[in-house]
Amino acid sequence: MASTAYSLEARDLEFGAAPDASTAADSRAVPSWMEPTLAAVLHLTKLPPSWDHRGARPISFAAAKQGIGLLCRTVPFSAPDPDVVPTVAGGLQFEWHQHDVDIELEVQPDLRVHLYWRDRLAAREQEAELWPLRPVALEQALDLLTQRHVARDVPAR
Amino acid sequence: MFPPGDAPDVTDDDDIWRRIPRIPSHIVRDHGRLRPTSAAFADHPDDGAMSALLAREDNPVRATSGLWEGYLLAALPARVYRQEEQRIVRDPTPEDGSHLLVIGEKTRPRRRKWAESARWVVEPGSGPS
Repeated sequence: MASTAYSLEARDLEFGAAPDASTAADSRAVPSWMEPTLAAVLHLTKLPPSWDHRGARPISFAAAKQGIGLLCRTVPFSAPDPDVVPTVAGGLQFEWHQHDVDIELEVQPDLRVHLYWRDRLAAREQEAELWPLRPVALEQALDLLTQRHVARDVPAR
Repeated sequence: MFPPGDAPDVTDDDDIWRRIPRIPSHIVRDHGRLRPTSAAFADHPDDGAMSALLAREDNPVRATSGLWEGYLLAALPARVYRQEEQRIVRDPTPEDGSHLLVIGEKTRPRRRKWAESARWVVEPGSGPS
Protein backbone atom coordinates (compact mmCIF):
# COMPACT_ATOMS: atom_id res chain seq x y z
CA MET A 1 0.00 0.00 0.00
CA ALA A 2 2.91 2.30 0.56
CA SER A 3 3.50 2.48 -3.19
CA THR A 4 -0.04 3.64 -3.89
CA ALA A 5 -0.26 7.15 -5.25
CA TYR A 6 -2.22 8.91 -2.59
CA SER A 7 -3.59 12.38 -2.72
CA LEU A 8 -4.95 12.55 0.79
CA GLU A 9 -2.93 14.94 2.84
CA ALA A 10 -3.30 16.18 6.35
CA ARG A 11 -4.51 19.60 5.30
CA ASP A 12 -7.34 18.07 3.27
CA LEU A 13 -8.85 16.74 6.44
CA GLU A 14 -7.84 19.61 8.68
CA PHE A 15 -5.81 17.32 10.84
CA GLY A 16 -2.44 18.79 11.51
CA ALA A 17 1.07 17.51 11.26
CA ALA A 18 1.97 14.14 9.79
CA PRO A 19 2.60 11.55 12.50
CA ASP A 20 6.31 11.08 12.05
CA ALA A 21 9.35 11.90 9.99
CA SER A 22 8.93 9.10 7.50
CA THR A 23 5.86 10.74 6.03
CA ALA A 24 7.64 14.03 5.75
CA ALA A 25 10.51 12.40 3.87
CA ASP A 26 8.21 11.19 1.11
CA SER A 27 4.90 12.96 0.79
CA ARG A 28 3.46 10.02 -1.15
CA ALA A 29 4.22 7.52 1.58
CA VAL A 30 1.13 6.46 3.44
CA PRO A 31 1.16 4.28 6.52
CA SER A 32 -0.24 0.86 5.84
CA TRP A 33 -2.86 1.27 8.56
CA MET A 34 -4.37 4.33 6.93
CA GLU A 35 -6.05 3.00 3.83
CA PRO A 36 -8.00 0.14 5.44
CA THR A 37 -8.88 2.35 8.36
CA LEU A 38 -10.21 5.17 6.21
CA ALA A 39 -12.12 2.66 4.11
CA ALA A 40 -13.67 1.15 7.22
CA VAL A 41 -14.67 4.52 8.61
CA LEU A 42 -16.12 5.61 5.28
CA HIS A 43 -18.13 2.40 5.10
CA LEU A 44 -19.51 2.97 8.58
CA THR A 45 -20.55 6.54 7.87
CA LYS A 46 -22.81 5.16 5.14
CA LEU A 47 -24.72 2.87 7.46
CA PRO A 48 -28.45 3.53 7.40
CA PRO A 49 -30.42 4.40 10.53
CA SER A 50 -31.27 1.31 12.55
CA TRP A 51 -28.39 -0.67 11.08
CA ASP A 52 -28.80 -3.15 13.93
CA HIS A 53 -32.56 -3.53 13.25
CA ARG A 54 -33.22 -2.03 16.68
CA GLY A 55 -32.84 1.67 16.05
CA ALA A 56 -29.07 2.14 16.19
CA ARG A 57 -28.06 5.66 15.27
CA PRO A 58 -26.27 6.34 11.99
CA ILE A 59 -22.59 7.05 12.50
CA SER A 60 -21.91 10.70 13.10
CA PHE A 61 -19.73 12.23 10.40
CA ALA A 62 -18.33 14.61 12.97
CA ALA A 63 -17.28 11.64 15.11
CA ALA A 64 -15.71 9.97 12.10
CA LYS A 65 -13.77 13.11 11.31
CA GLN A 66 -12.71 13.48 14.91
CA GLY A 67 -11.54 9.88 14.99
CA ILE A 68 -9.60 10.00 11.77
CA GLY A 69 -8.01 13.27 12.77
CA LEU A 70 -6.95 11.84 16.08
CA LEU A 71 -5.45 8.76 14.44
CA CYS A 72 -3.56 10.84 11.90
CA ARG A 73 -2.02 12.87 14.69
CA THR A 74 -1.10 9.99 16.94
CA VAL A 75 -0.74 6.62 15.21
CA PRO A 76 2.88 5.92 14.27
CA PHE A 77 3.71 5.18 10.66
CA SER A 78 4.56 1.54 11.34
CA ALA A 79 1.64 0.75 13.60
CA PRO A 80 -0.70 -2.12 12.75
CA ASP A 81 -4.18 -1.27 11.54
CA PRO A 82 -7.01 -1.15 14.04
CA ASP A 83 -10.38 -2.81 13.87
CA VAL A 84 -13.07 -0.18 13.45
CA VAL A 85 -16.54 -0.86 14.78
CA PRO A 86 -19.67 1.26 15.06
CA THR A 87 -21.45 1.97 18.31
CA VAL A 88 -25.23 1.89 18.56
CA ALA A 89 -25.14 5.46 19.85
CA GLY A 90 -23.66 6.68 16.55
CA GLY A 91 -19.98 6.75 17.42
CA LEU A 92 -16.95 4.74 16.42
CA GLN A 93 -14.53 2.51 18.26
CA PHE A 94 -10.97 1.78 17.13
CA GLU A 95 -9.36 -1.31 18.64
CA TRP A 96 -5.96 -2.92 18.65
CA HIS A 97 -5.38 -6.18 20.52
CA GLN A 98 -1.98 -7.62 19.79
CA HIS A 99 1.57 -7.92 21.13
CA ASP A 100 0.13 -8.05 24.64
CA VAL A 101 -1.30 -4.58 24.20
CA ASP A 102 -5.00 -3.74 24.13
CA ILE A 103 -6.22 -0.33 23.01
CA GLU A 104 -9.84 0.75 22.73
CA LEU A 105 -10.49 4.26 21.51
CA GLU A 106 -14.12 5.30 21.44
CA VAL A 107 -15.21 8.49 19.72
CA GLN A 108 -18.71 9.33 20.84
CA PRO A 109 -21.22 11.19 18.70
CA ASP A 110 -20.84 14.23 20.95
CA LEU A 111 -17.10 14.07 20.09
CA ARG A 112 -15.97 13.05 23.53
CA VAL A 113 -13.18 10.51 23.29
CA HIS A 114 -12.61 7.66 25.70
CA LEU A 115 -9.39 5.66 25.87
CA TYR A 116 -8.71 2.33 27.51
CA TRP A 117 -5.36 0.65 27.16
CA ARG A 118 -3.62 -2.24 28.83
CA ASP A 119 -0.10 -3.60 28.72
CA ARG A 120 -0.57 -7.25 29.60
CA LEU A 121 3.16 -7.80 30.14
CA ALA A 122 3.47 -5.03 32.68
CA ALA A 123 -0.01 -5.64 34.15
CA ARG A 124 -0.69 -1.98 33.65
CA GLU A 125 -3.89 -0.39 32.43
CA GLN A 126 -5.37 3.04 32.09
CA GLU A 127 -8.85 4.31 31.38
CA ALA A 128 -9.52 7.95 30.74
CA GLU A 129 -11.53 10.53 28.95
CA LEU A 130 -9.13 11.85 26.37
CA TRP A 131 -8.54 15.44 25.52
CA PRO A 132 -8.11 15.07 21.76
CA LEU A 133 -5.75 17.99 21.43
CA ARG A 134 -3.34 16.50 23.94
CA PRO A 135 -3.68 12.75 23.67
CA VAL A 136 -0.56 11.83 25.64
CA ALA A 137 -1.91 8.57 27.00
CA LEU A 138 -2.97 7.46 23.54
CA GLU A 139 0.45 8.28 22.12
CA GLN A 140 2.10 6.24 24.86
CA ALA A 141 -0.12 3.25 24.18
CA LEU A 142 0.37 3.41 20.43
CA ASP A 143 4.11 3.84 20.76
CA LEU A 144 4.32 0.73 22.92
CA LEU A 145 2.19 -1.25 20.48
CA THR A 146 4.23 -0.10 17.50
CA GLN A 147 7.56 -0.81 19.17
CA ARG A 148 6.51 -4.38 19.83
CA HIS A 149 4.97 -4.70 16.39
CA VAL A 150 8.15 -3.63 14.66
CA ALA A 151 10.46 -5.52 17.01
CA ARG A 152 8.67 -8.79 16.54
CA ASP A 153 8.40 -8.27 12.79
CA VAL A 154 5.23 -10.29 12.59
CA PRO A 155 2.25 -9.88 10.31
CA ALA A 156 -0.58 -7.69 11.54
CA ARG A 157 -2.47 -10.83 12.76
CA MET B 1 -41.02 1.01 31.26
CA PHE B 2 -39.21 -2.19 32.06
CA PRO B 3 -40.95 -5.15 33.64
CA PRO B 4 -39.96 -5.31 37.30
CA GLY B 5 -37.62 -7.85 38.77
CA ASP B 6 -35.16 -10.41 37.62
CA ALA B 7 -36.71 -13.43 35.87
CA PRO B 8 -36.63 -16.16 38.53
CA ASP B 9 -36.94 -18.97 36.00
CA VAL B 10 -33.75 -17.91 34.25
CA THR B 11 -31.10 -19.72 36.25
CA ASP B 12 -27.54 -18.59 36.75
CA ASP B 13 -26.41 -21.47 34.54
CA ASP B 14 -28.71 -20.53 31.68
CA ASP B 15 -26.86 -19.38 28.62
CA ILE B 16 -27.83 -15.95 27.38
CA TRP B 17 -27.20 -15.30 23.70
CA ARG B 18 -26.31 -11.96 22.24
CA ARG B 19 -26.63 -11.40 18.51
CA ILE B 20 -23.44 -10.00 17.02
CA PRO B 21 -23.62 -8.25 13.66
CA ARG B 22 -21.19 -9.35 11.00
CA ILE B 23 -21.99 -6.46 8.65
CA PRO B 24 -21.20 -3.94 9.96
CA SER B 25 -18.75 -5.99 11.93
CA HIS B 26 -18.83 -6.10 15.69
CA ILE B 27 -15.94 -8.56 15.64
CA VAL B 28 -12.37 -7.71 16.57
CA ARG B 29 -9.09 -9.55 16.29
CA ASP B 30 -7.67 -10.23 19.74
CA HIS B 31 -4.25 -11.88 19.83
CA GLY B 32 -5.04 -14.31 17.08
CA ARG B 33 -8.66 -15.01 17.84
CA LEU B 34 -11.88 -13.34 16.80
CA ARG B 35 -14.23 -12.14 19.50
CA PRO B 36 -17.07 -9.65 19.86
CA THR B 37 -16.12 -6.04 20.49
CA SER B 38 -17.06 -4.50 23.80
CA ALA B 39 -19.27 -2.18 21.76
CA ALA B 40 -21.53 -5.17 21.10
CA PHE B 41 -22.58 -5.25 24.75
CA ALA B 42 -23.85 -1.71 25.06
CA ASP B 43 -27.31 -0.65 26.08
CA HIS B 44 -29.51 0.49 23.30
CA PRO B 45 -29.83 4.28 23.20
CA ASP B 46 -33.63 4.16 22.97
CA ASP B 47 -34.57 1.79 25.75
CA GLY B 48 -31.47 1.66 27.93
CA ALA B 49 -31.32 -2.12 27.88
CA MET B 50 -29.47 -4.81 25.97
CA SER B 51 -31.39 -7.26 23.84
CA ALA B 52 -30.65 -10.97 24.32
CA LEU B 53 -32.12 -14.46 23.90
CA LEU B 54 -32.60 -17.35 26.29
CA ALA B 55 -30.63 -20.23 24.78
CA ARG B 56 -32.68 -23.14 26.12
CA GLU B 57 -35.83 -21.76 24.50
CA ASP B 58 -34.26 -21.08 21.14
CA ASN B 59 -31.89 -22.54 18.60
CA PRO B 60 -29.01 -21.01 16.67
CA VAL B 61 -30.54 -21.54 13.24
CA ARG B 62 -33.77 -19.75 14.12
CA ALA B 63 -31.99 -17.03 16.05
CA THR B 64 -29.86 -16.15 13.03
CA SER B 65 -32.49 -16.35 10.32
CA GLY B 66 -34.86 -13.88 8.74
CA LEU B 67 -34.03 -10.35 9.79
CA TRP B 68 -31.00 -11.69 11.62
CA GLU B 69 -29.50 -13.73 8.82
CA GLY B 70 -25.73 -13.45 8.82
CA TYR B 71 -25.57 -12.53 12.49
CA LEU B 72 -23.38 -14.42 14.91
CA LEU B 73 -24.30 -15.56 18.42
CA ALA B 74 -22.15 -15.08 21.51
CA ALA B 75 -23.08 -16.79 24.77
CA LEU B 76 -22.52 -15.97 28.42
CA PRO B 77 -24.13 -17.61 31.44
CA ALA B 78 -26.74 -15.48 33.18
CA ARG B 79 -24.50 -15.58 36.25
CA VAL B 80 -21.88 -13.44 34.53
CA TYR B 81 -24.36 -10.67 33.95
CA ARG B 82 -25.90 -10.89 37.40
CA GLN B 83 -22.49 -10.69 39.01
CA GLU B 84 -22.18 -7.30 37.37
CA GLU B 85 -25.43 -5.90 38.76
CA GLN B 86 -27.59 -6.72 35.75
CA ARG B 87 -31.20 -7.84 35.83
CA ILE B 88 -32.42 -10.34 33.27
CA VAL B 89 -36.01 -9.72 32.34
CA ARG B 90 -38.30 -11.60 29.98
CA ASP B 91 -39.42 -9.52 27.03
CA PRO B 92 -40.95 -11.82 24.40
CA THR B 93 -41.57 -10.20 21.04
CA PRO B 94 -43.52 -11.43 17.99
CA GLU B 95 -40.21 -12.31 16.34
CA ASP B 96 -38.40 -13.71 19.37
CA GLY B 97 -40.35 -15.68 21.95
CA SER B 98 -37.13 -16.20 23.93
CA HIS B 99 -36.32 -12.49 23.96
CA LEU B 100 -34.79 -11.03 27.12
CA LEU B 101 -33.60 -7.66 28.24
CA VAL B 102 -30.39 -7.31 30.21
CA ILE B 103 -30.88 -4.25 32.35
CA GLY B 104 -28.30 -2.40 34.37
CA GLU B 105 -25.44 0.01 33.98
CA LYS B 106 -23.01 -1.27 31.37
CA THR B 107 -19.76 0.37 32.25
CA ARG B 108 -16.85 -0.03 29.87
CA PRO B 109 -15.01 -2.48 32.17
CA ARG B 110 -18.12 -4.64 32.33
CA ARG B 111 -18.58 -4.60 28.58
CA ARG B 112 -14.94 -5.51 28.05
CA LYS B 113 -15.22 -8.39 30.51
CA TRP B 114 -18.24 -9.78 28.68
CA ALA B 115 -16.67 -9.33 25.26
CA GLU B 116 -13.48 -11.09 26.32
CA SER B 117 -15.24 -14.01 27.97
CA ALA B 118 -18.13 -14.60 25.57
CA ARG B 119 -18.25 -17.97 23.82
CA TRP B 120 -19.24 -18.27 20.19
CA VAL B 121 -22.38 -20.29 19.42
CA VAL B 122 -22.47 -19.17 15.82
CA GLU B 123 -18.95 -18.11 15.07
CA PRO B 124 -17.20 -16.03 12.43
CA GLY B 125 -16.55 -18.07 9.35
CA SER B 126 -19.76 -20.01 9.67
CA GLY B 127 -22.48 -19.60 7.10
CA PRO B 128 -22.87 -16.78 4.61
CA SER B 129 -21.05 -13.55 5.32
